[in-house]
Amino acid sequence: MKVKRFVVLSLVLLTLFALPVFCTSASGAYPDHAVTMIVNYSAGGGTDLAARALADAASKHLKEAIGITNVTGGSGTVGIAQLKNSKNDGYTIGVATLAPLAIVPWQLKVPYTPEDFEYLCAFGQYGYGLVVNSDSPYNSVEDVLQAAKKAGKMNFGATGYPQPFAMEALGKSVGVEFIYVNYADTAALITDILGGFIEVALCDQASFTSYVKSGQMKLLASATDKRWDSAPDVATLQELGYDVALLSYMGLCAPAGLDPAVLQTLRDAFAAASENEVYKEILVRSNLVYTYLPGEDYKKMVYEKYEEYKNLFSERKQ
Amino acid sequence: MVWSMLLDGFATVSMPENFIYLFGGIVIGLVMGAIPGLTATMAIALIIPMTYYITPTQSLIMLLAAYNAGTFGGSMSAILIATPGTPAAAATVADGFALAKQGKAVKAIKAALLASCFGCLFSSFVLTLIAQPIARYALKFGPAEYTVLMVFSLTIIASAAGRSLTKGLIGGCLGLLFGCVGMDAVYTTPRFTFGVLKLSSGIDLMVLLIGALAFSEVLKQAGHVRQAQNRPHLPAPACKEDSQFTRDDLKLSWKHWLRSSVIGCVIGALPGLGPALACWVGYDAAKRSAKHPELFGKGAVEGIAGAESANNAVCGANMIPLLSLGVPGDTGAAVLIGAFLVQGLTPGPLIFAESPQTVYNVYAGLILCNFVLFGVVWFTYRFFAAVARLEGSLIYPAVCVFCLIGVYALNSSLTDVWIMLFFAVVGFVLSRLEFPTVTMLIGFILSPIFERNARRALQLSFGDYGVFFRSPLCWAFWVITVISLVTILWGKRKNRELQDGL
Amino acid sequence: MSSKESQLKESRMEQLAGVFFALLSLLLYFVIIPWQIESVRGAHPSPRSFPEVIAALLFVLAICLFISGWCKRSRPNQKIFRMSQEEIRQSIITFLVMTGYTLLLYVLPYIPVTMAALGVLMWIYGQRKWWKLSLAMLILPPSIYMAFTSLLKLRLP
Repeated sequence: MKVKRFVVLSLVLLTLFALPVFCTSASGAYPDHAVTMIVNYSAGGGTDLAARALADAASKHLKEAIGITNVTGGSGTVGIAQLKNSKNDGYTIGVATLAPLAIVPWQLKVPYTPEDFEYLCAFGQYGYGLVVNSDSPYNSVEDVLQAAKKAGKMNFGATGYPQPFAMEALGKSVGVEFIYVNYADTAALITDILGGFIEVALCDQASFTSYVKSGQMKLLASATDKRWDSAPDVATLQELGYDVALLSYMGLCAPAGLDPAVLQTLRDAFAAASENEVYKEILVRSNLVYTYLPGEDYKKMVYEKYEEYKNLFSERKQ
Repeated sequence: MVWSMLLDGFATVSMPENFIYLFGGIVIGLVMGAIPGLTATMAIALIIPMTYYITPTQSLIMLLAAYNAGTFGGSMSAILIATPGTPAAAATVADGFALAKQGKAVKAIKAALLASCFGCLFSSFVLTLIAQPIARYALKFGPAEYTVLMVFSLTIIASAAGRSLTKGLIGGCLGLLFGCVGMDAVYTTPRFTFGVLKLSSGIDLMVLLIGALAFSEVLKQAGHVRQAQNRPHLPAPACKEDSQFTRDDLKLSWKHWLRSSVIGCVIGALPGLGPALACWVGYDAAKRSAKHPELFGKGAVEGIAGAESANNAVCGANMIPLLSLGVPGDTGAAVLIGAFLVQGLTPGPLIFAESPQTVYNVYAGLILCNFVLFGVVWFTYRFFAAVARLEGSLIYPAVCVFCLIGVYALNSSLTDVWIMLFFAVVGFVLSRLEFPTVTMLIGFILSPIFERNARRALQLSFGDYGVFFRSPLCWAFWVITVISLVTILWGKRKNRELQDGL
Repeated sequence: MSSKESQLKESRMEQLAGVFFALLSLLLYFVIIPWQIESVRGAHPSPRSFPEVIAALLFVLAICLFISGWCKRSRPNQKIFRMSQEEIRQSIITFLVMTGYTLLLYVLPYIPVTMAALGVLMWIYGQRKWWKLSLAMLILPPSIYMAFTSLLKLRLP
């Protein structure tokens, strides 16, 4: 008897709570409840901090809260894969940085392509640079290339793609092989440079600015299309005559098939949010580069890079 | 000079508007550490965005207090429900839970508390007084040195093997293999991922711990709970001493506190290791120097002393490279860099010039938080320990639910839950057949560090194996490794009766 | 309560385990490793090296284990691994409940599924008191849900 009562009660409870799942969501102006933003890197990191600051600013324009969920893994791909599988009702958006969209698909099998998303905007740029230890005998990119030529080959450190492509391009320009030593963990790369175990690294601006500022490392050149804010007198590789510039952005996307009106609302909200002072301040402090690309431009860039990296990766497989 | 700034630091931190952040940090850290699945590192990561609006001193002491309290908090759930709340508490599960089953749960909690506070106090003083020279020395550790250090750590597997060396080594091999799941360190190609995207970043240590330790424990107990129906899940203390940390306990423990705190400082100061490794090395060191090593695993207070003082010593010590060089000692410190940046500070040598008083406030806060932690737990442990009096049939289902939600919360991933279930089965089978799960855990932790560093060292030396024998540090560790192996094997020969098979 | 047990003598266990691990290591070496890890030309050590070494080591150890079990087979006071019917049943059921729970979470929201799971588990573990069952079922899942979503801002299914 008791068993029956128990079973009945459970079923009742289950149905009661399951009902909302089957109800259609209340129709009203978008947005009428909180929006979720998926961040594909772990909490507390540079990308995450910037995303949270932007979300804070944007929620004022949307008049709804934006809640952050960190879905990490697979070099940023797991979060993006989850975004693809989310409902395209405008209540789930996600951070989609350039690397997992355009680069990682050529390294790992990922369940998405750039066509699976609508692009809201790009909100920050990753900077890159060529650094050496402050005690190093190299004072310019030329020095490094000369030394590499003499030795025939040289090791360089980097934490992932697209950095190695810059070194390879540099190496090709003087006919020297730069061997990529992968450091999945940025802290390990930092200690090895400071300890003198590796001579040169192509690093990202966010993590390494503090060491350049404190004089522990020397920045030989900026590897992106702008000079570093913290080292305005160090030239870019392009200015020095090498045809190499790495571009990588943090962007926001939503699953494909989004209602165009909703898409426009989101784009407007984030465009306005990117002007927010607090957000800009946090970007600066996290050593990220302030930039803003509207959704369409970011989309074009992602598609371009997708093709570009496809070629770069298939070239090297030969 | 140092002392006056330090005293100023204490004065600042004790002011109510700052102290409240210290206190808050401890509470948050305790709760998050005690809940399985929410780790101390997670606690920091979630607090950071909130710190934008408060002063650097407030934010840093809150975060450090949370980190320290969280590392201790994990041991409470380890003791009471055999589930490590953080990876650092994994070594406390065996002896802690064993003591709890003997009715001595409160004693175990007090032992863990004292060891933890001692460990962090010790490393805080080391940090305050000699951070810079240590940090500079730590830089001399390159990939080759780390590799040899890992070889030494691998001998811990043999030491932890207990009765049967063969079974222990097999467990270690399994752990090493599981550690290979993920992306290859050099060529970034996926390994053992079976097409599952989530696995390409490897198996999360916490998921493995909850599965292999906690959930498998539930499965083991499943058979007995029905019979023990209305009895509390842990027996009540038999006598007053069971709830106290007695003088005898102190006599047994204090040497381990010192030794393991030093170990914890070393591991914390070396970037790339962390409290998860420290607790095992500390535990192992305690076991090897104890008079009755065979009691370890069955309820030895010394085991808790060794494990807990080592893992909390890391909390203070990983600030050594962070403040002196700007390099984090482990993932917890890495997240702290974000906290510094948000405040507009740059960790590293510059910070001593930019805002030295903040640094001394942080030192003072770190030292003070140990006392506050001690106080908070001393008054509230009864509340946590009340868990012990709940019935088994309430506790174990609740543990199951917490295991699941905890694992899910780590990465918002149900895939992780499946991984946990897999390891629960593995852990269950292994421990039922008396294979030491400990060796699997240690193997899993060591595998990536060892392989990554070994291959990187070879890359940097262009394939020359001699790199492992070049520097004096490498030689020192080779010598230590050989000594370690010899003592282990010698010990096993002496106690033949306790040995089983090979 | 039935007291039927499954028994396994230690020597036998070691032999069986030895065989199992030996087979596993062979499977690893010849099947799983080549399947899962691409071989990189000319690289030494390659991504496969470390796992291969471990697999080889495992093989050796498995043989040792087998030998150890073989040598012990006639020893008098061996440890016997016992598991009663009850234990086996409870463990398997718990595992199945958790598996079902996980599967359901893909489709249904968190609170009702957890309530059901809690109820079922407590039932299996012998809890029969009405009020304790309902109290736990009604209080725990919503509080967990609230704590995780509002305090920690995590999204639950």
